[in-house]
Amino acid sequence: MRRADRFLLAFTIFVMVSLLTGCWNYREIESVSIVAGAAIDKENDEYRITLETIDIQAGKEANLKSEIFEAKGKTVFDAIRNVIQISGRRLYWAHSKIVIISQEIAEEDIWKPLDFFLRDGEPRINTNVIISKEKTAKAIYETEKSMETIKSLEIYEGITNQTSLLKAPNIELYNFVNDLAAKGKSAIFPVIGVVTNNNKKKFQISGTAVFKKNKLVGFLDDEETKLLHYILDRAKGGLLVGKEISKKDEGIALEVFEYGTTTKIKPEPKDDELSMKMDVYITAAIAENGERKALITQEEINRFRKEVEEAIEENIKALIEKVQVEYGSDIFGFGSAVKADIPKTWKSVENEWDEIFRLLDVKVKVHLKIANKAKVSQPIKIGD
Amino acid sequence: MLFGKKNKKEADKLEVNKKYLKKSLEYNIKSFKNIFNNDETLFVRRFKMPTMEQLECCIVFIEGMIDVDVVNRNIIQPILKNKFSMEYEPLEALQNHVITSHKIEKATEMDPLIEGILIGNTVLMLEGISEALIITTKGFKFRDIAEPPSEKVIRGPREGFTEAFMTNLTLLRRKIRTPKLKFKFLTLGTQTNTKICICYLEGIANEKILAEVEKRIGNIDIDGILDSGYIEELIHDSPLSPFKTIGSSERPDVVASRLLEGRIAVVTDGSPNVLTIPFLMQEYFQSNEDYYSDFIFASINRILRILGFLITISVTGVYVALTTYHQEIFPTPLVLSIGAAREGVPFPTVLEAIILLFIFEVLREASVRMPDAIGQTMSIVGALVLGQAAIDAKLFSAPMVVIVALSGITALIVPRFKGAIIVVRLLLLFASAFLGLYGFVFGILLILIHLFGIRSFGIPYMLDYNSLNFQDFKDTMIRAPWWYMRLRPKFIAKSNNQRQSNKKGGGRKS
Repeated sequence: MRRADRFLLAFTIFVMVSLLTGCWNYREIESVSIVAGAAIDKENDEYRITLETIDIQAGKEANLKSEIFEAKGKTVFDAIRNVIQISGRRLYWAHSKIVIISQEIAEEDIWKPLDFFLRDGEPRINTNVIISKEKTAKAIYETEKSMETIKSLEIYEGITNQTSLLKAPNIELYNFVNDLAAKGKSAIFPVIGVVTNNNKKKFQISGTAVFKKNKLVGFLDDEETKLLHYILDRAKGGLLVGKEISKKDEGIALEVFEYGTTTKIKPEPKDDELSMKMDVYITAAIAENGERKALITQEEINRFRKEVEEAIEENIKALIEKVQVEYGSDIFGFGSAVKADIPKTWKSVENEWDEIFRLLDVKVKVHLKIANKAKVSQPIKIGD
Repeated sequence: MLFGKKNKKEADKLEVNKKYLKKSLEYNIKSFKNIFNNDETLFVRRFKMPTMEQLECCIVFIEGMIDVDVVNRNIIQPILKNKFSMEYEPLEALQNHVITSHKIEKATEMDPLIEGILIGNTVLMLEGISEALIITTKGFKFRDIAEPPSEKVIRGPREGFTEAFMTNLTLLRRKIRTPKLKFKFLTLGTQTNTKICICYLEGIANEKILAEVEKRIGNIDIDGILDSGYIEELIHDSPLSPFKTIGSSERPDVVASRLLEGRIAVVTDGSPNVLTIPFLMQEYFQSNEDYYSDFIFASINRILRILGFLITISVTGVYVALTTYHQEIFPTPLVLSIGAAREGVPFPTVLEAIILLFIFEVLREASVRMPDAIGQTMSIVGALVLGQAAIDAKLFSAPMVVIVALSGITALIVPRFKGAIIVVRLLLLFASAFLGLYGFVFGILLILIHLFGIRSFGIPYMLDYNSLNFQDFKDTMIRAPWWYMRLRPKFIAKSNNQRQSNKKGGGRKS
């Protein structure tokens, strides 16, 4: 190769490398408005978006302040672009943590506002989407702030810390999309509401929003949500307490461990009848025994264990029945279990799965393992 | 033009060659004085032997280049006090019976006489004889053998090369006592007549590389060689590459170990830096101390050095790419704190990086050149004024200062890279500022293509880095224990690869 040719080749490669790269998105970090979270409402056929951005105030000690913007648009993206009219700066979505969607939109079609968050390059697919139980989603941003100054981060923390509470599912956008696209499984989202606590309006994350296809059909409360975690094999801790573990409602609390707690769902086809077998394995420690129940001998422990197992079985059955009857939405993923285990059968039932699900017989078996009794091995004897 | 120049030079040589000593002492002295015209360091001492008054003697030398004691005691004293009658031929007699010196040569031409005088020998001439003796009396002052400040070690020998040519060769000879260690002498520099020595171990060094070295050195045509750096730049491969392809060291133990690996050393008179050929990328990360301390510690240090190199070339580029193109890659708290620090800074991030890197290089260069007495001033100006005050005044953001400082400090782990690091760092910085991480990756690719493309005297520069064979790995990323390094590096030592006998555990037992 001649020298000139070589130079020409290098030049061509350089030009192509620099020009054929797609988006040129050089931007200084301080020139963008970092969006922390958003709430989406519908008002007279228009979407109204309420954004919380993080406003960095320079100084000796950097101050983070939240700023709320509101804009309307024909679509969500339109509304978002309209925010620039007020904020002046370009919005930067890559650090956005949550999107709150009003109940009204969810009942109509949840996918309309969410499409932007999956499609656009900036928002993350692990954004937490939450359904607002209040009239508007914006109401959540009108509650009072506590420790952190950025409300969205506060809510985000609340959602991620559910692992030790289990009262709302930690569902990220891609989980929802997967369930929505999957056959034989319906999607869920966590729910947020406003409560009055210490004379202040506070947000509260609690419960589950149940979807059928892309429409909201109902809610599950705290206790049901907790059991739902066990069915979905998402339980990574949390307490089992009171009525959940005994009919007598004793003051005993079990703390569930992440390891050794798992659920297996297996379809059991028998003749023409399809039924599900669910094995729930729970490993837990006795965290509270205020009743001073004697739990010393193996016999006593076994008796207690049986009681608890039966109580949980019954509660789970009741939850499944409620969902089957009231919502008819397969949020437990029984359909996908059938599809995975016996694909031939699934092909024959696929089209009428809605009907089959409503009448599906589910056998629940709970296997509890009591790992330890924490620091106190014997119940305290109260003297004189 | 070129042709004419060469012709003239040859003519010069012939003229000198034509000159022979005459029988007349007076004439000879005159011709010396003519040659050293206007040079008052030339010293001529005439005296007569007590037994033969008619036979006048004369010694010629350059003041300061000789050892006065040797000349007085071993030349003048024996001649003046000897009592022999002239039965013998006088010059033979002086050489064989009178002068007590370990090395005496006879010469009839002017050329070797002048050369002898110039390197510090003494020329003895007699009246009526057209021959002279060159008596070795070299004795000028030079620096003591000391630990080279540029290559300090905690463990290992502490001697370093000096500016004295023969001392340096002695230091090497003392490490490797075998007749197979060869020293080939050459003279370079039409004006400086600098002595060069090519050292190698016969039977281990690759003859092809040796021939190539001799060929390239033979092609050098320059007026003066003041340091081995001249030779390095004149003969190395890829002359425009920022990476070195010839090694150099001030330590005899380092050079000896490279000779044992089959490398070739070039010692230059007047320079404490001895060149070693060939030089590979991995040698940047090797230190002689690696081989003296235990292999675990040495391997950790070597990995640290490689990491240090990677950090110092890439950290500024990556930071600029991430903060201006890929803010989504940071955890949210980090993006907020960087954003807060950037708030109010007038320069774009890239410019900030370039200015700070420039200031760092200025401080580095200044600290090398300045006298020790004003060192404190500089550290105060550097640390307080440029560091703290610039951040307070919102000229630069604090994270940027941290990044540049990190880049600067890690560069000091591998000081041998020198210019290469600055060039590569800037290249990556520009590529990242222009195209983000995409550009950074292209910059890295460019450097890798370059590194894998260049050779040092026929040996691939990145030898062993792309190998999957564990034997090749032993001295690159880690320093394998000595009992594992049974073979010399391949290619470099071609003919004789075996380093330790294959006896099982032989090395460990002793």
